[in-house]
Amino acid sequence: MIDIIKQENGYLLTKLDVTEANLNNSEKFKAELIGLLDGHNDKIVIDMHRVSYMDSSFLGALVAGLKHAISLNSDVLLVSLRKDISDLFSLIRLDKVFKIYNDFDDIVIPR
Amino acid sequence: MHTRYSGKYFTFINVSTALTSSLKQVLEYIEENLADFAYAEDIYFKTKAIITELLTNGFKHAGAETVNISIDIDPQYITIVKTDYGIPFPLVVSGSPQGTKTMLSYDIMHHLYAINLNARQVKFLVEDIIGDETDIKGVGEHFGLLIITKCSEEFIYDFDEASKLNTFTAKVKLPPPAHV
Repeated sequence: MIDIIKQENGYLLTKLDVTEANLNNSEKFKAELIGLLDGHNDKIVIDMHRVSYMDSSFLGALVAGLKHAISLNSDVLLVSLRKDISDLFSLIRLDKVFKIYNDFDDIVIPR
Repeated sequence: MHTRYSGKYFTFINVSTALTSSLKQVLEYIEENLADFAYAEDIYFKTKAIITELLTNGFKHAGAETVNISIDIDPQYITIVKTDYGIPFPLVVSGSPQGTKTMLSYDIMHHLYAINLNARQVKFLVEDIIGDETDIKGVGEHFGLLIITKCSEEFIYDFDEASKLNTFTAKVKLPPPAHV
């Protein structure tokens, strides 16, 4: 579900391979995200451009993942959110707690 | 200007695998009937979020075999009603006096309340809390009612003791129709 693209200087670039992010896959996503955080010393960057809709269960899984990341002094960064998803984050102010970027290239990765 | 008055009633099986197709059916109907309104994109976003969460919450908490969604569009509001015969929302049936304000959830960014309107109805209310929003440890992980309440002009739950019917009603205010 979370496909690894590449590892680059402390960042693991990934993409989320689902179009419907909802309670049918939120637990699996959370387990995969926590597994990636535990298995790598990298900040996890998730490209979400494929996701066309997201429900509260999946938002909860993302927040749980971010909490786990912060407890490890790591982070979860999000890129390429569609407008509906971006609006949803703004609505419940999760745009204040997640670092959200337009594209991988907007993240300043030490090279 | 062309103003529509329309409505439709849907019945869905309350299983998680049917959520996506149920949502699509309702959204297609709304999309067809919202085409004449200015700012339809914002209205579409709100109604999509509300219906998504009503269906999701219904599956997670109500335990009913079927859920019903009705959509009514008039010049001022789009009204989304979800009914089922599942487990009642717990706080309403307490018989609390009118005006009683019960905190349902809180985190560093939001307080969510239910206000008793009468013996069978509560209205949901969200207060935004301004403070240190970056402390992730203080952020909740349950957003369903919060999303519906924030997208709605008014969001009310009704429990009919006699029939055991649960009714959630969310109203989204429509902007004035575009001039032609």
